[in-house]
Amino acid sequence: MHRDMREIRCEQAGESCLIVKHPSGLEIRIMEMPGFHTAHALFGTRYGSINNRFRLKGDAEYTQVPDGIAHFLEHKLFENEDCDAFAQYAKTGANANAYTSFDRTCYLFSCSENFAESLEILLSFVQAPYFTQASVDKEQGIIGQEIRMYDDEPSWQVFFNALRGMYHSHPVNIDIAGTVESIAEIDADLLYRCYNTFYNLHNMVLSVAGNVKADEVLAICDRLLKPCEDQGLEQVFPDEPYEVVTAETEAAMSVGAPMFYLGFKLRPRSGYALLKAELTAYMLMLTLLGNTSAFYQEMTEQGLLNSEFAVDTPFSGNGYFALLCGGESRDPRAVRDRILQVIEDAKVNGFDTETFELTRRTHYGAMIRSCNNVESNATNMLNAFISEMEPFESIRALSEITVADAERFLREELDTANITLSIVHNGKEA
Amino acid sequence: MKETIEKIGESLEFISIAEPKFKTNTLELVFMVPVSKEKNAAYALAMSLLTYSCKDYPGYAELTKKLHAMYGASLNYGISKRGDVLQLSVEASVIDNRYVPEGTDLLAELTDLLLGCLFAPNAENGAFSDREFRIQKQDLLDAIEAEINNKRSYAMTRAARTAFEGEPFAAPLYGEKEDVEALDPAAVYAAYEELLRTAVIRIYHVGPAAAPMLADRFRTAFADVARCPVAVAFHAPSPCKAETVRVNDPMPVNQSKLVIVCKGTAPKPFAMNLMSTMFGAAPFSMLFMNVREKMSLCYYCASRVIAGKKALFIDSGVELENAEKACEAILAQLDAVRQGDFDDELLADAKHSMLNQLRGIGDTPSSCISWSHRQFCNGESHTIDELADIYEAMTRQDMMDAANALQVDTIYLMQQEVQHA
Repeated sequence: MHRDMREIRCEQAGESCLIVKHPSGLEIRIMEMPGFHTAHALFGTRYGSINNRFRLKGDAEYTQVPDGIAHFLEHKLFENEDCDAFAQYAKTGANANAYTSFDRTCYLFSCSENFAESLEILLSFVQAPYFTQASVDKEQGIIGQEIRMYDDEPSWQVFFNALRGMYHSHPVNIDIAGTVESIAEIDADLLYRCYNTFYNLHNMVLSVAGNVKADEVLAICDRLLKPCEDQGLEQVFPDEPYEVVTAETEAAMSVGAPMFYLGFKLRPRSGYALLKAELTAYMLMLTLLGNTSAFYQEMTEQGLLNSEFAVDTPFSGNGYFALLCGGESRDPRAVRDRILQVIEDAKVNGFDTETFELTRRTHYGAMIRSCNNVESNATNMLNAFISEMEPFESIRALSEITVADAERFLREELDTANITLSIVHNGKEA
Repeated sequence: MKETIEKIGESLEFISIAEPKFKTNTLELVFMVPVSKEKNAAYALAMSLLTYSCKDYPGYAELTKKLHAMYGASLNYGISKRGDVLQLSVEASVIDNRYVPEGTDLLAELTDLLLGCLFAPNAENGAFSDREFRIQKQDLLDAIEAEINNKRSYAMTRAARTAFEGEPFAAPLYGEKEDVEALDPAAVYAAYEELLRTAVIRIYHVGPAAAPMLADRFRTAFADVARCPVAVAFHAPSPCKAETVRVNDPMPVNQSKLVIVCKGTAPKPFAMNLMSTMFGAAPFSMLFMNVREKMSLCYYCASRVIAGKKALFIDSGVELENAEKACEAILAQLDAVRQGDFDDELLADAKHSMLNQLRGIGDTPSSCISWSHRQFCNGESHTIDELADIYEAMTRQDMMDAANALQVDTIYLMQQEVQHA
């Protein structure tokens, strides 16, 4: 079968991978890792909780779907007409799972034996939806309990309250699993509509790494992939103002020390520009607020922060880009005020460029480390696809970023007036 | 995975695992001492102080800068229990020299740094530095307070306290808040010196090639320590209570957490692990397929063997109104295994799953260390293939015997106070 195939090499890590544009429309990314026993495979689609308004070529109107439907669909896809996918994997011994996030749904397995059989299961069940009203009804109870579980997780609640504090109308402010009420609106027809829209192979990727042979993977794909026509998917996201929704939100839960997240809302971007901006912003924030900073020393010395404090990797996707940092503090407002002061001081007086360069080194080490790991390699290749990037682009971006880029970002992008503080303190829910 | 073991002192071994495919070097030192209600807090605080600063890098920022300069080397500590043994580990890792400019020897730097942290800590006159002590003490107190944040693990901990009441295993990993409050820099330093002297110690190196000089470095470092290791019990089966104890623990949560603790010894070694896989530790297991999929009662319902205590934990998150129903359903599934009411296919599936896990060992440095460590603690010398053969040979009667050996000791319920419409 004719294939559009390229090899991408990473000289620094001594790794390479293949990118194949399969005639079915699917992009396939493969990294053979000699010497490893295990293999990890992910079959993913660019479809997550934010993709809730869409239309296809020929549709007059956009369709708006209930919150949490992408996640619901992920659960239901495991059941085929005659068999459950977990029961099929049980015959191969593979360890299978799936997850849904803001902008993707992924089905995965890892195994050390019977790779071909497991890959066949993965490709088959994801391409064979089977939903009935009875099975949809049954899933309401299971997902309802998953939602309740997250309702009791303060780390999840403090994070989501920060997103709600930043985003007015972008669906990134909606909980990935939806609510007990929103999932009650889901029926089999809606699931089929979402499936047929987003599980088109042109919108999907297969990423495989470890103890695999590219020829074997491609032969299975040739046999099992069902060619798809590009349906001209169009999505629309509501206009999102530049400003945050609110400067502060507070909630009560059963927790130890108060937890907090401080979010900086930034102008969204995409592609390689986003990748570079993310890395620049992250390195800058680690320089100013990370474990080696004067800020962190001062805060721990004063008992205002503990080892839970962290600068998160930037939070970004289609139409959103934010920086978040958080942890535990007896006085989150004092921490916020000090962070804003540190940033404003840096705008005037600059920052420690030696620390910035050390951060670059740390990132380089982390990238090499991740190449040590079968699962990380497969996941990184998938993540790059979702962000419309090629594998290993992060290493290139890391080498290109300059101190001047970080200074520019600090002065022109990092707006200390456009922030939100989310706090969860100990107490009974209102 | 090529492993060599060298004795470098009294109950002190250096284990080298060479695996050419790895791009990192990992060093891990594990102290093993009896779990102690009185000492756990001091040991935990000592571990956090050792990885927070040292004489050469006397502040956390300085130590972290050094790690960053080593291309993001890591230095962490971990604490766990196995049987009635407290395991305190310090782990450091770094990328291999092939990936950094010529002339840089990151493994040598990492070894120096780790030895510096262990043998030249930030301490004077028999006490850890006051400043670092104060910060890390507060950090540990915060960590103890934060145990409530993760409701699932908190429920498991609470259930364990009842199930193992009166046994060393019941003592919290980091001690109680009041134990930590009572500590001072000298007491924690004394606890650390005691660890160096009395703990059974294993030091692991996992990297792309063996580094023969490492064992000597550690042998020399320990030469001045007057070693008098204590006995440790990795296997401390917990007696089952004559009557099942039920604990209801009301909390302001949205979802109740049910934990059932069973105890018992399977007649055949390893049979409990396989029984648990089939019963509740896999997405094809009886608990997953029945309590979750058929009855729609929960999102998770899983079982887990507690190594060394001959116990099996089963936990689930459910609505309060369904808690009793879930409990009955779980115990009904256990009865089904006891009576052999399961398909041969399910047993075969469980074996596939176990073999898949076994054959994956050796693909990460942590799995190499875990495998070697488990062998040591269990006093085993199986190869992976031999253990795979043991699982392959197990029968449905072995599964029934394992389930029949179990008795319900404790049923714990974190009872939700939040009512839903």
